[in-house]
Amino acid sequence: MAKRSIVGRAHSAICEEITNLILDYLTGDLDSETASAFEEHLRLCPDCVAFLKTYEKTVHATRSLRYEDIPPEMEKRVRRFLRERLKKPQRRR
Amino acid sequence: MLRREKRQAAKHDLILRARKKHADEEARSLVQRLKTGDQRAFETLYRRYCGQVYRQVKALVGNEAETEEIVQDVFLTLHQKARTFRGDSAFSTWLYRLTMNSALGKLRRRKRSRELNLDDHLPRYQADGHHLLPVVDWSRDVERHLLTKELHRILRHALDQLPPKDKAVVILSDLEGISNKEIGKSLGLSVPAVKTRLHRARLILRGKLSVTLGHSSN
Repeated sequence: MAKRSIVGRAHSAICEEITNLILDYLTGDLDSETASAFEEHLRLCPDCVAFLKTYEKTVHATRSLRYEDIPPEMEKRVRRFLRERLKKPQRRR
Repeated sequence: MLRREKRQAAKHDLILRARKKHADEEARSLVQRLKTGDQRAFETLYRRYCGQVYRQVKALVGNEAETEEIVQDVFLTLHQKARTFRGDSAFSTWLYRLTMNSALGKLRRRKRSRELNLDDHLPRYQADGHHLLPVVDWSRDVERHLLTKELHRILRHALDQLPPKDKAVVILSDLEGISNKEIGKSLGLSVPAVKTRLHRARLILRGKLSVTLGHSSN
């Protein structure tokens, strides 16, 4: 990620640079001057606003994915497997 | 974010950290007992963590039968390597590492033909670095699609097509809420490398969603 400072040049900062700073912006890892320049660019660039919103929504949608719990039968099967396996003398793997 | 929301988020974060610390201390104590040959400690570790290991492996490999094999493998490895756990890192980090090593090993042995042509889904820019096409804000459309579950199907499919390590980074970060530092330790990556992979994977997922919703990946 190319991260040339955008401080003091929000007007000339290019969208690609802004995209490269999104992750740090969302986690609050940008220093305050860079965050201000980032927000100043957003005030001037509707494309970057739309990009940021859709990026955030993608993260939100990914976070909403749910993977099911371990099926009870599998939990028991693995437990039985481990008990049997660990009763036997250990062989070097 | 409003000041009150920030305070609530910080309080929530503190509670989560305290819970995590407590769970980690208990797990360390169980590992110490396991080192002395206490099999009940192992059973307790299995009972407490089999759900977490299953969830991460299932998200990563998808297939139920392979997931079961890997869960077995992770706990056998945990039993065999308990002696080597020195406690330099959190128990959770150690367990993520065992889980990811085993699951990624399985994925590496699979054919790589399912990966997307990933660059097609990255944003594109003009020569001067500005967006190539106007960017459409489809963020409101997502809620409607989330209700239909169609979006989840699309996202899972797109996740399956990411390179295994990038997929692991997304699962640990966005699904499990693990810090970049811990992800780095679990996957043998520096924090900047974790961030680079996470950002690129999110850009690809965003591009895939954008195209699915009828717009360009820009």
